[in-house]
Amino acid sequence: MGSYLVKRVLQAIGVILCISIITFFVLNIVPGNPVRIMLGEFADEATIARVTAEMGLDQPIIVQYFNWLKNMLMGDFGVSYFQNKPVLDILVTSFLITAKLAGIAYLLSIVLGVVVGVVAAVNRGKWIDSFLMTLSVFGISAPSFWIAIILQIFICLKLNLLPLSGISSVSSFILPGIALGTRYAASVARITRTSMLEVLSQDYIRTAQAKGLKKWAVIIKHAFRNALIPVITIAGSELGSILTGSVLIESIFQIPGIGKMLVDSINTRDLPIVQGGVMYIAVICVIMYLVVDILYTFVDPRITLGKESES
Amino acid sequence: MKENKELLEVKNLGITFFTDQGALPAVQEVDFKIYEGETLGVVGESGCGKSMTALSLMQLIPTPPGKITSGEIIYKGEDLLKKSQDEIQQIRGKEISMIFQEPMTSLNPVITVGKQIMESILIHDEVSKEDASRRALEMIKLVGIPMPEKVFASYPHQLSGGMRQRIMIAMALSCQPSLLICDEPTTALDVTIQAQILRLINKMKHEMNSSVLLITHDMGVISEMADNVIVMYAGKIVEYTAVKNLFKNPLHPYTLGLMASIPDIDSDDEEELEVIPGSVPMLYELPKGCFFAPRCKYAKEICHNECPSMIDKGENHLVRCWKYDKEHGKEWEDE
Ligand SMILES: Nc1ncnc2c1ncn2[C@@H]1O[C@H](COP(=O)(O)OP(=O)(O)OP(=O)(O)O)[C@@H](O)[C@H]1O
Ligand SMILES: [Mg+2]
Repeated sequence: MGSYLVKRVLQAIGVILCISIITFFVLNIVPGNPVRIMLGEFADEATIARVTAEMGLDQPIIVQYFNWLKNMLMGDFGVSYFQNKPVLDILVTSFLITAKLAGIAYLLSIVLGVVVGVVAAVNRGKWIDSFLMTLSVFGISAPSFWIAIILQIFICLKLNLLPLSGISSVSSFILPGIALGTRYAASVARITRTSMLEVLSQDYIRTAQAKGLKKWAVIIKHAFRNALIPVITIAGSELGSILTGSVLIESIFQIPGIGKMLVDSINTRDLPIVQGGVMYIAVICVIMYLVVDILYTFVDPRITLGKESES
Repeated sequence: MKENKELLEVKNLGITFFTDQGALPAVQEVDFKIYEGETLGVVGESGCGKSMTALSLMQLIPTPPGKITSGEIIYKGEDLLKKSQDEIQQIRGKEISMIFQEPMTSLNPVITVGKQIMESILIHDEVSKEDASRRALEMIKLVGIPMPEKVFASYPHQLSGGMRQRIMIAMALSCQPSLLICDEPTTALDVTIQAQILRLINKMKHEMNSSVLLITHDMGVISEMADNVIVMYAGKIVEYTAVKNLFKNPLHPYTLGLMASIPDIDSDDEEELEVIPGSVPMLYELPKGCFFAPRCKYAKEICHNECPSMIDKGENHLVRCWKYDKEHGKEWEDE
């Protein structure tokens, strides 16, 4: 377990470094001098040169990269060109908003998806199974913006139950959460069903029945835990997709989350925010994947041993 | 046959699989009894319905497509087929336990074997977790596993096939069942381990005072372990008698074929093993008469037209063959 963990953490650090290199160099190749943009069209060359030097932008790009990395490690993501606030503050504020949205969507996708998948599998071939699976095909194919607009029309405009946009209260996050989470709920449901069916036909399920366990005890204690293993993989990789997918939903519902903020910053070439934002999201995703991998070892004892006997 | 108290009686059992190819009769007209302390052996080729017969006793036939379509299973005087799901769950693992053919896959991979044994105890007996854990450990010791404490906390993948089968035995016997069903318990194991497991089953049977239903396709195992034996062919019993009788005086042509196909280690001459010609009929194209007739060298017209019922040859020797019928048997007499 220990050596596996160390290996995985080192891997994660490697991934983050790679992302930092790509982010930094790609963004610095992008044409357009940010200082020029920041100071406006009429700034004279001397001022531009002075500000460029102040910001360290005249140094070799490698040096700039290491400075940037070093500062980031110390929690200094730089200062926004246009908002005159530390990038980290801006990122944290907007990320917390996105986290609320993504959290609701994620929770919805996992809880609803798993419950639907298990119920469908247990009732395989019956009408409820067909109904839920048809619904899930619908859920997977419906674009999130379409769901968002339909929800806005019916729930907000016609029934006036929930706020149309903004983040004035917690209830503002419900509709965006549903719009964002539906598709992932549907795919989790399908994976869970497939996985449950596979597990339910295993010999050890028959053993559990032969012991005299009740039907649902067999399903929950013996089938479910084994069926969870592929679901965790999907759930892990979905987190990244939900964070990315939130960009669209944030703009439909006017939510000032990290997605909207990143898009805005790209438009204004606010490089520190873009760089910092990408890194911030990358680090969060990598950490989540790490958590998923560690979760794995709790659910499936075979994984830990495999790694240990390898080393 | 032993004259002990009767534990289980199966009457006219029929199991059908409802599939795309139609209703397939996997098991038909199966009758047998198991007495207290008896080991009843069941032999027959792959697919002849041994496992389904065994699973039906615990109502564990995969449904759908399978279904028990006829018969009674009288256990301690009560018909199990008339019991509710709840009552059956109380019998499974407590009264009747089962060990399966595939020790590698029959244990849950994500739960320690100790916990899996404990679970059986906790389902049926009102004991504390500590007591259940102590009893589980005792069972692990009882089935002859070295370092029981370590094994208790192990996951199935950390144990060998033989160890896992021992765990299965410990689990199956943890509530001292009256009947232990062993469905080819050694088929998947190394030859060296096979004998150990069989000896263990025998020892545990005596210790727990249980009856055993032992399924195998190995005549050698039958001769060593069983008191009585059932020979099955294509879903029907073709011969049912005491093991002594079967080896001394096999009656059914299929049994004769099975006997002839046992390799004889003692004989020196390179005698070729006899093989029964032809193959087992598929369930969707069972012959009209005796199922064995197409492969039988003694078959006459009657055999192809009508299936005989079990004929009592005395000394508790039952056989399903026209040769031993009072009337039709005459046709064979001059041969
Ligand atoms: N799920 C199923 N669907 C259709 N037919 C089935 C199914 N399961 C079993 N059968 C049929 O039931 C018959 C009896 O199967 P069973 O497993 O009892 O055989 P067996 O004697 O135990 O064979 P083996 O020695 O290979 O274990 C077989 O002919 C098989 O084709
Ligand atoms: Mg079988």
